[in-house]
Amino acid sequence: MKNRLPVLFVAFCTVLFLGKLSTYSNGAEEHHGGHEAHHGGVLNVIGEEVGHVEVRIEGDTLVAWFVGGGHDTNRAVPIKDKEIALKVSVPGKGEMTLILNASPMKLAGEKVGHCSRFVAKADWLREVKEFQARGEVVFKGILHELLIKYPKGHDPMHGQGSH
Amino acid sequence: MSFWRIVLKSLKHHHFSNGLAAISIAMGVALLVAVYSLKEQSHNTFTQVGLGVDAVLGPKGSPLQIVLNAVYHLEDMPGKIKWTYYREVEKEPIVAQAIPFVVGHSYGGFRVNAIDGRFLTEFEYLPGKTFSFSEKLGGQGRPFIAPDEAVAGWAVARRLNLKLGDTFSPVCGVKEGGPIHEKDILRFVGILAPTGTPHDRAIYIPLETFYGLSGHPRETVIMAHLEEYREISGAYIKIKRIRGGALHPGIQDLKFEINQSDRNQLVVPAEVMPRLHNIIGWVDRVLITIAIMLTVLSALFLFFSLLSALREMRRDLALFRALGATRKTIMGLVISEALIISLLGGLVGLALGHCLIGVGAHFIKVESGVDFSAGYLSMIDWLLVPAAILLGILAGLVPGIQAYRLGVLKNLSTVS
Repeated sequence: MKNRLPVLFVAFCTVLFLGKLSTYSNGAEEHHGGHEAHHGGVLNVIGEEVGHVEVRIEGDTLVAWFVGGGHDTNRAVPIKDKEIALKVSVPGKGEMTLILNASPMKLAGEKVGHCSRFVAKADWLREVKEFQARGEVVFKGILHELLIKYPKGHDPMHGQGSH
Repeated sequence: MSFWRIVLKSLKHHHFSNGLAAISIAMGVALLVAVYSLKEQSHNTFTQVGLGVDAVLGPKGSPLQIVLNAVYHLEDMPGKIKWTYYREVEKEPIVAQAIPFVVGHSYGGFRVNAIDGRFLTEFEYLPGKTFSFSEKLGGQGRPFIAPDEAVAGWAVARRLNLKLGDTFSPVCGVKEGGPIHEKDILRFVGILAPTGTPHDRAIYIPLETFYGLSGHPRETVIMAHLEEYREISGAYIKIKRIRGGALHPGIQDLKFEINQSDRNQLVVPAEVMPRLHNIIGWVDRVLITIAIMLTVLSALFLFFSLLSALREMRRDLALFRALGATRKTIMGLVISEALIISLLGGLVGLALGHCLIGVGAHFIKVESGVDFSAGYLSMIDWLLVPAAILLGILAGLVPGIQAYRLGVLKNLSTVS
């Protein structure tokens, strides 16, 4: 037993050290999982995740940003459309039309016709808790169907949630 | 013969092995002291979050480099931004204050920052605190007004022994030996009261002075007069607050928007510095682990060396017992020997560790501009004596117990 004590002590310290290391590694992996919505909105995949549209509601205003696909959600992707018409289904309220108008980010050098941010205003947005919107957009030169699900987001490859 | 004289005689008798044990303990302790001191000093330097700067508007490049240059007066800025772009950002509704600056000069090893005068009169480096020239607080003079005036941070004035009225010519660049703007003589009209922040470590001159320094090309000189061509290194941005003093949430949108531009970016120091701490934190932990392992190995060496010495001294110790020494006294002799070796190694290691910092600090200052002090007392300095005593007791415990159990008759019997 006396001879085994030093060995047990070293083994204990090694287990403790490796345990701490693996805790850190696990933490690091969790940090890199999921796509980040950089404006605090919800992400909705475009096409086969060639891009996303991030949507956020502030009072009576809906702001949408077209951003990159995959983990590239920190990169704006300007599109040529000046406005985008959405057919919005709100539970209990039927279908409505919402027009997103280009709102260029001037500090990013954008202008109408080369713009990644779109804004729409409507009184009913103040009280909406959930909706689904459909439209079409030419994104990266290809016509795509747009499907926006609020507040869960739309990401069929990684599950409903956007985070 | 007194107890301590016997201990000292025993130490002398095994001076080689005891000396080696003390040296190995000293080396482990020196490494531990040096690493811990550098860790604490760099933590103190780099963890003052924000320092009044909510964001830095700068050129595209490494965000860490921009924060280190703009906030900590280290590194170089990776480029320039246009004055007209800065003015657009200044007009943003959530921007409370935007202070432009230009870097790229130095004097006496300290950075010379050309900056808007509002920095010295309106900028809050900590919540509710603006820079002061009050003599009661350790400052002197006033902010600069004329183009040939300058203000020194408190640490700069102390290191270079500056007084009001002293003059200097800025050096182009931040490394020693750069060309001097000899024709430009600037006069110190103010010394800032100490703030305990990196702002103490810089010299400040008027923004427009930078463009007119002799030797600058005409393209730089006209920037003073024509805004459309003017360039700056960056700007300190303060964001408006909402209820509870929290940053306006629009900062994320503003950051996203600016970061999409080709030439510019908005960097938030509070987001960048934790990443640096994570990297450095792991380097610290590895070095401290190595130092602790070295010290523990040294203690093991001491332990085996005492065991070996005990085998040689069995007859002597048995003789002491026969002459009236108690078991406790014999045990005490062994443990005291271990204590003295451990304490000696610890104290030598402490001195060596601070010398290491002193030597290393010089090279770190030359290469990176970060100042470390050899005289800084970290947590390890205060714990060292108790730790050395504990280490000595632990190393001497088993040999001491063996000495306690020593059989008198058995060890005094004639060896045939």
